[in-house]
Amino acid sequence: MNEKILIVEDTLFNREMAKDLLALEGYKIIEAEAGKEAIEKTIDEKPDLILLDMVLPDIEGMALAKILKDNSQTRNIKIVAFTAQVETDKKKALDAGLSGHIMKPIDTKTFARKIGEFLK
Amino acid sequence: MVENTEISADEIIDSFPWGISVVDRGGKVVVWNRLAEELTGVNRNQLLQKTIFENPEPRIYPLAEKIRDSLDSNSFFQSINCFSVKGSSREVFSTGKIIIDKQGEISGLVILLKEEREQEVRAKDRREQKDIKVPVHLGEMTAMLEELSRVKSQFLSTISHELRTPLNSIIGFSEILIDRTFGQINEKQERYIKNIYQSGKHLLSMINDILDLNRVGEWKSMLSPGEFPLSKVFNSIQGILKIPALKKNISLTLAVDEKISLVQADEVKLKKIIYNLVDNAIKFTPPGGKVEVEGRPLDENFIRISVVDSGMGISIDNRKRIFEKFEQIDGDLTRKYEGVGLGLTVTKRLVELHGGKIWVEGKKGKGSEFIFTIPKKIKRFACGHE
Repeated sequence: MNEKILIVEDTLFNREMAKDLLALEGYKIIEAEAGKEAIEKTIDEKPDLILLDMVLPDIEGMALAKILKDNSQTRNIKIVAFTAQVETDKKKALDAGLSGHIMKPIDTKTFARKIGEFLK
Repeated sequence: MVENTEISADEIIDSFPWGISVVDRGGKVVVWNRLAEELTGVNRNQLLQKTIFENPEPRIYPLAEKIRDSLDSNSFFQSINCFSVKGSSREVFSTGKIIIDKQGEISGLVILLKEEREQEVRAKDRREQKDIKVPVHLGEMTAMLEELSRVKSQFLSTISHELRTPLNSIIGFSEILIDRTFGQINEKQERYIKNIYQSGKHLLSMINDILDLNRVGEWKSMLSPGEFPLSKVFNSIQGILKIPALKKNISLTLAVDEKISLVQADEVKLKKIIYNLVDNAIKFTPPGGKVEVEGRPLDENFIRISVVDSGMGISIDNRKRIFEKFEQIDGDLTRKYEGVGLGLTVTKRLVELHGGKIWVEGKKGKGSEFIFTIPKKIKRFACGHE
C-alpha cells in the first residue's frame, strides 16, 4: 500500500492527526496549508487522493476542487471533502464530482479505514 | 392585458393588497412585491435574481423550506410564519401554488403572503394604545434590543465554533493515545490521559448545550407548524436511541395511544424535546433498567407524553431546579454523568413555545417520570413579542 495522499488543511492539529493516522497505514503523505500550495503539489506529486478542507485561507475548498476537476492533468485524482458542516457540503461535494466527504472532528478509530475505502 | 395602458405590470404587482412573490423552478426569485417586503422585512434587492435557498437572511429560511418542499413535491403549500419587522412581530399566512408551463412542466411557484387578520387587529390595538401612553422611542428601543440579541447569538455561535476546534484536537489526540495507536503507555499515564479525554468530552457537551440554548432564541421566530403522526416521531427516536439503550442493556419502549393519530406541532422541535428526555433517561438509568415512553390524550385539548425511567429519581426539592440553566442534581453520584443540564432548559423552552407544560414526578430512588403536554391543535404560534 504505497498510495500517495495530499492533505490540504490549514489547522495544524487536524492536519497532523490525519497525517499520523494515515502514515501508520503505510500511505505516503504530502501536506498543504492553502489552495495555491495545494495546486502546486497536486501537479508535482500526482497524489492518488486529496483530503480537502472546505475552508482554506486563500480559497473555498469547493472552488479549488473545481479547478482540479477542470484540469486534464488532475481530473482523475480522487478528492474527499474534509468538512465540519453536515448537510450543506455533502450534496455540493457530490455535485462537484468529489468522491465523498469525511466529517470533522476525525473519528480516530474509523478514519484510516474510510480513506482506504475511497481509494479502492 | 396591460399593453394599452400607462400602468406597468410592476406597478400593478406592487399595488396588490397581498404580498406576492414568484420563484422559478430553481428557486430564483423573480418577483417580490412591495407588500412582501413590508410583511417580511426583507428587501427585494436582497432577493431578486438570487435563489431563495441561498439567502443569508435567516428569517426567510422557514419560508424557503416550504418553497423547496413545494417545488420538490410538485404541490401547493400553506403555512404561517412569524416575521419580526422593526421591533414588532407579525404572523404572516403564506400559500404557494406551482406554475405549470405549456409543456406541462413545472416552471416555478407563485406565493401569496398576507398578515393574519386577528394579529392585524391586535397590532392595531397596540399601536393605538402606544399613541396615547407610550413614549415614541419605545419602538426604537425594541429594535435596539433585538439587534443586541442578534449580535449576542452571532457572538455565541462564533465562539462555540472557535472553542470546538482546539477541543476536538484535545479529544482526538488523547483518544489516539488511549487506543495505543502509536505504542504503549503506562497505567498512570493512561489514567491521566483518560482524565484529559473525559474532561474534553464534558466541555464539548457543555458547548453544544450552550449552542442549543442559544438557538432557542432564534427558533422563536422560526416555528414551522405541520401535521404528522406522533408514531413517526416515536419511530425515529427509537431508531436513533436503540443502540445507546442496547449498549447499557436498557429496554426502551415507545407507545402511542390509538386515540392519537395526527398531531400539530413543529416536527423537528417536538423530536428534539422527546430526544432530550429519552437520551437523559437512558443516561441516568443503570444497566438492566428500562425506559418507557408513552403518548396519550390528556383531555379534549391536550396530548400528554411521558418518559419513565428506572433510574435514581429526583427529590422533590430538586424538581423545579433541574429545569434551570446549569443545574444538575448535586452530589458525587452525578459526577459520572456527562453534560451540565442545559438540555432540560432547552427542552422546557421548546415545550413552552408550543404552548405546553413540562414537569417531573416519581420517587427518589424509584425512577423519574418526565411529563409534558402540547395542545392538540396549535391555535397560534407564539411570536417573539409574546
